Amino acid sequence: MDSPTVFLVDDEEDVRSTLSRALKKRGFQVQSFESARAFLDQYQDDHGCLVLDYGMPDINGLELQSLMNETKLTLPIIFISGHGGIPESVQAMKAGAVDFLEKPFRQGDLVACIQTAFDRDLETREAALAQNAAKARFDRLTSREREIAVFMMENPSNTASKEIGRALDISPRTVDHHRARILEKLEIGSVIELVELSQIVRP
Amino acid sequence: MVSKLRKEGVRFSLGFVLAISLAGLQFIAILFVVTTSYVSSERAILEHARGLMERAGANAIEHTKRFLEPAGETTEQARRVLNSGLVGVKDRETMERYFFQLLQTEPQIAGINYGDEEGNFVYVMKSKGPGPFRTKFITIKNGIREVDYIWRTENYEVVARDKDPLDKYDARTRPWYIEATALDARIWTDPYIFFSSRQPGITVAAPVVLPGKGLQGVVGVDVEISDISRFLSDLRVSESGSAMILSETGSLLAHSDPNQIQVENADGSLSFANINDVADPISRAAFANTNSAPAESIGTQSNFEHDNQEYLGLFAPLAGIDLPWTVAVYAPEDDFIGEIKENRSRNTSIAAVISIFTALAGLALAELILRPVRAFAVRTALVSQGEVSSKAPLPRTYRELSKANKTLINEIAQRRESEAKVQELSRDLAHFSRVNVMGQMASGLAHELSQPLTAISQNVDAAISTAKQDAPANEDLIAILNELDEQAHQGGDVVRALRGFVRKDEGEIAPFNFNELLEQAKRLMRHEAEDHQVKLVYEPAADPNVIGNRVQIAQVLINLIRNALEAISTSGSRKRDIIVEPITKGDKLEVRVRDSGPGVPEGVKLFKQFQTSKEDGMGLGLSISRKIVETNHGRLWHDKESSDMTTFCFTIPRETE
Repeated sequence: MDSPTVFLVDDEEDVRSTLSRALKKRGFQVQSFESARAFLDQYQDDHGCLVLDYGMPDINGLELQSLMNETKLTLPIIFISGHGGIPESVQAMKAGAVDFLEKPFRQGDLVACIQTAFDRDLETREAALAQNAAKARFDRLTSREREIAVFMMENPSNTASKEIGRALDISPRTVDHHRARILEKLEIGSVIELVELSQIVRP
Repeated sequence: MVSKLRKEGVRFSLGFVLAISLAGLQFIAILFVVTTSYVSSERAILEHARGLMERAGANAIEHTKRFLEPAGETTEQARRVLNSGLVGVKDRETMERYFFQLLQTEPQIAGINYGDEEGNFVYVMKSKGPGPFRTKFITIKNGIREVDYIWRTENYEVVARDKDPLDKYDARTRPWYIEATALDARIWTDPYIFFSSRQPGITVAAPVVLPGKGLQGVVGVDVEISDISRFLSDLRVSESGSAMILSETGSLLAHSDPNQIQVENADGSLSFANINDVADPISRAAFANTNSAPAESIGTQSNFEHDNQEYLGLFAPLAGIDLPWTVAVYAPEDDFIGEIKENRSRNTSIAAVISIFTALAGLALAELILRPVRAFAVRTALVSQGEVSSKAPLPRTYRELSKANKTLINEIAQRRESEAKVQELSRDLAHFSRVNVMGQMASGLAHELSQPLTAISQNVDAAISTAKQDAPANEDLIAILNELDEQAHQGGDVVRALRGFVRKDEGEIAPFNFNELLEQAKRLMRHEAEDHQVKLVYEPAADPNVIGNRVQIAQVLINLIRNALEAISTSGSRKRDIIVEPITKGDKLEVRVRDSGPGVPEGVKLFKQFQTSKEDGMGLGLSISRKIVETNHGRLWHDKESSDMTTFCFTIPRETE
């Protein structure tokens, strides 16, 4: 995966330039945008985090946050604000923001937030990758196998072949046969792993 | 004045109207009663008076007739006796005796005489002495004239005798003799003053004619009419009324006052007073009024005026006797109606006095009526000027006024209240808008400052990063930059504190940390406190979570701290401390702001005076502070119990699970 980037959106020229310079000096990769619109136009679901000014004309910070949530852009957001209203900060945090920093903030705080955000982004992306892989494996199953796998995932305490056979009106033998095929196709060793895998696929 | 009052539509004062109308009405009523009763009784009494006078007149006439008639009858009788020869015309002794008897029977006859053609004369008359009767004989014998007097007692006994050779009396020359012989009938002479008795009288004379011998002489009867005057004076027409008898020529024959009748002529002889010369002016006036023409008809009314007095007059001819006399009766009106006149004037003065009293009573009554009204008016004026509370007890007044007052006072109270409210509101509004503008400005300022501070902070960070890249690292520069960073962040802290006060969450009651607020207040007030050399001590709250409007509570807190600062700095006291201590009290957080200032002066109503102490203050007045606290479900008060320091307290509801 690429090294993470700090995406910076702030309408204040001074803040944008000084902040991006300071972060670059600290070794971060920084891309800055003067507006939410400019950011949306260029962003390609890259790895990193978003340092977002709350108060901006046209699309403000909170609005960009909700837009990104709608379009499944999972980039973690750190709000910076010159206004510092409690309700806004509460709203931002509820919508998944990493933090809400009031300007002027201490660089240490921001860097800590950026690190947290990077970690979160990394996790998110890894989870997404795992999910995709699991999905791909599930796709290998036949419909009958899928049926049995789903039953087992839904009834993790009831995975005996007899029970499954009775429930799906097939012989336990057949169930046993399918079960072996399922474990092979999904590249797992036990039913317990199947349950774990199901949780990745359907978080 | 009156027209001015009219123009202004102002009526006269109630008292004046009441007094005048009461007095006027009473006066008119009494006057009316008095006048009508006076007029009717006057009419009745005058009618009666006229009747009285007529009766008096008739009495006078009757009496006069009765007085004179016997004389006529006596004369007639004597003539017949002499004519018939029962008493011979020459038998003078018998004649004397006969005359004597006649004289005794008729008291009003003064004397009886007989004079013959030869000049002989017998005259028996009443006398004053030496005997009650006197006979006068004039005897002509052979041309020699002899006059003898004989005085006798009632029993015809001779008392004295005398002779008078100087007497010149001749009956034949007397008017009565001449007239009687000329007319050959009984005649009444005009009244005259008797020669011998010097009394007024008249003589009835009749000729004595013997059959075949012709005229022998004339018999005459003298009647003294002074008795009529006496009668008239006894008649008493009224208190001061008079009666009189006048002859054809206007001579006064009889009068209530007998002295009026005679006058002494220049030669010493006596004659009747003429009515025009009479001493009594009233009589003169009475007669003057008749135009000197004695009335023909019976009972001519003739009222006249003399000396400003009304007189009732009555003139009547002496009917029944062939004498052309007139009886006049007059009396001052006042004799009859004087009393009722007096009564009238007395009543009028009583009416006037009563009216004056009534007017005074009216004034007093009006005063009595007006006093509550006036008190009411004064009170209303005072209330409307706000010098008296509309709730102050109403002075004693009338129910009607009391009702009107209620409405009026309510109206005034409402107006004053709404005026006060409007004033208060506009003041509050001005204040809030000022605070609001300040807030907005502060908010903008905070935002504007936050950007360069952020930029500074970032640049410092970049500089530090750069400095660290140098080898060897420039430690001095890094230290400077770190300090610079710290200073930028201090600036940032101030901005944040300021922003904390003016957050846009105004009007919302929400949970917040009071200690945070306290911290921000401390930061904001630090500079001011240092300016005043006051030590600000803040105790953090043990349970800092409270519910309220953060901005408003902050304003109240700042305001209380400011007041305390100001109190200390204006007093110049040596101890200069302000302690803010939040204490948990049940479900409330009680914040006590205590200062070492001089305290609240006596008599100052803290929460009634709406002024903020400073025109440019961000702080609010205590009353507004109290209102703010109350809308945040708390209380604000001045704790007088607190001993050593001036203490203001307010409460905020705590956030409880």
